[in-house]
Amino acid sequence: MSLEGPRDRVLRHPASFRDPSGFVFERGGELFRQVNAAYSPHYDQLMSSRLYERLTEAGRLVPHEESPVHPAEPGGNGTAPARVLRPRRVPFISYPSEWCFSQLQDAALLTLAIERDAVEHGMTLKDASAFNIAFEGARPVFIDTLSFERYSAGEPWVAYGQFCRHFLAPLALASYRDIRLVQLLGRYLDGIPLDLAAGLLPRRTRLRFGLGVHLHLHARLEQRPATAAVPAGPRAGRGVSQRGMNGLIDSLESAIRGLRWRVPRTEWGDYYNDTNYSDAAMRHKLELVGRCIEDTRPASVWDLGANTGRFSRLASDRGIPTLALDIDPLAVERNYLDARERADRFLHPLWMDLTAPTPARGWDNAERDTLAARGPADMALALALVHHLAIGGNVPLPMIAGFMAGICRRLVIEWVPRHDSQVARLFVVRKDVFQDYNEDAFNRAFAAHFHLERRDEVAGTERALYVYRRRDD
Amino acid sequence: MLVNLAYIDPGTGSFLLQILLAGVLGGIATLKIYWGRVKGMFVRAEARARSSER
Repeated sequence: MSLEGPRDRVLRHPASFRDPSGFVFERGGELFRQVNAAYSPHYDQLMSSRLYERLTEAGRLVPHEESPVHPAEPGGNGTAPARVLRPRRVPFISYPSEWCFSQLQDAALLTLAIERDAVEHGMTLKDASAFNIAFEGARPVFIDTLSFERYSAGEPWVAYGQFCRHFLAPLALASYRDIRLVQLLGRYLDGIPLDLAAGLLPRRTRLRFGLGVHLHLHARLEQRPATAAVPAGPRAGRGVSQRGMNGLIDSLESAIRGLRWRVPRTEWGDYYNDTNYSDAAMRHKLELVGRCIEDTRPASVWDLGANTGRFSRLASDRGIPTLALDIDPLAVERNYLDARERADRFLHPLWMDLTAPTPARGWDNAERDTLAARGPADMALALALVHHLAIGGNVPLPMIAGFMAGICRRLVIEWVPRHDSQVARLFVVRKDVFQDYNEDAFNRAFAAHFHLERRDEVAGTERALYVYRRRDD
Repeated sequence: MLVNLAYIDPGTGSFLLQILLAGVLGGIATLKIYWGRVKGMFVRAEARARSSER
């Protein structure tokens, strides 16, 4: 039976091609995962060993239901498709280079916890990519249901090297060198090469057992010539015992837990205590933004330049999936730790430089999406942001308006006038070459893309809050 | 037939290191278990001694 129509068009996910077990596709706007026949015995064990039950009940693995829809295409390598799963959809897929320290650390610990559970149920993770983890609010969840494989006693962990590249290397670099080195994960999609990480780390890290072994020695051994004797270990019977496997997982866990981000003072970490907003003005702004969210009930909100998320929470506290993007890793870290503490299921802090947002990456530049391609958001908030982009980032107002129109349907944006003390601060040592930075030019720039819905002055300030709706919506 | 679908390259260095590590870490785990048993014997003996004192 075929029901081919425009709604039935299959869109195979462009990042889902490496694993012969199956792939992710969209049909009629719904997300599915095809399981190929060759993977069936592994899938059956995942379900029958109660591993699936244990992981989903603990919130570690994204749950799915088996779907009656027909598969998207024949299975790989000439195998038949076995079945189709419909996973619970995660509202926004963020990438490891966009996470703050604790998000990456929590994702690492989740991966190890899952591997430990898997081994206990006679299975193992056949990959340990950080891209297998997504965040639902402040909670990491494993999304690749087909990563589980039957574990034969004695086999080493196939994904051990990948785990070290994806998690241990960036966390160690952040901990011992600089948090900004985590951004190497944007360039190295299969994790930071261990020899690169080992070379960048201080020599004293060799003396720490976890890093000395899993990173430095590991890097050395990886550089052996490929022709050197391959350890015939597992198949020759001198492999990795279950106790050894558990010891390995424990050792990786204590290496990961032992890493801390020693926080420097960054530029905006103290922002709320250092504004020209009086309490009354802040309250008024909160009220205006809150009312706008209440009136329009957006399905998703991106708070651009969110700092530690005070305004983001106006949306997430109403159960709206909300991204809180900020350029300052310390603000993102604080926001995440606070959201984690509250077990927030809707607020997802994200580390993002809006003047150079995440580009498309990977094979054919299609595996990983740009920020904009993962939108648009139903609503974006751009509060106390425009002067940073226009003056701090030298981006002309018409280009800011064009960018905003590409990422949201409705925009709540705060106009910050030239004589505002926060703007004056940007001119302390630089020349004012921004003659076009005025409210008329702002209006003209945004009117080209948006309908103005309302404008409110923030009481006791020179600032104004604009609500725009995109013209083509 | 069970087809192994591990599709990433685990790397020979990673394999070799794991076999080495698993031996060491597994050995430590085993020692800990035996040490626990030995300690357990003394704790039990002490508990018996204490209850017989009463």
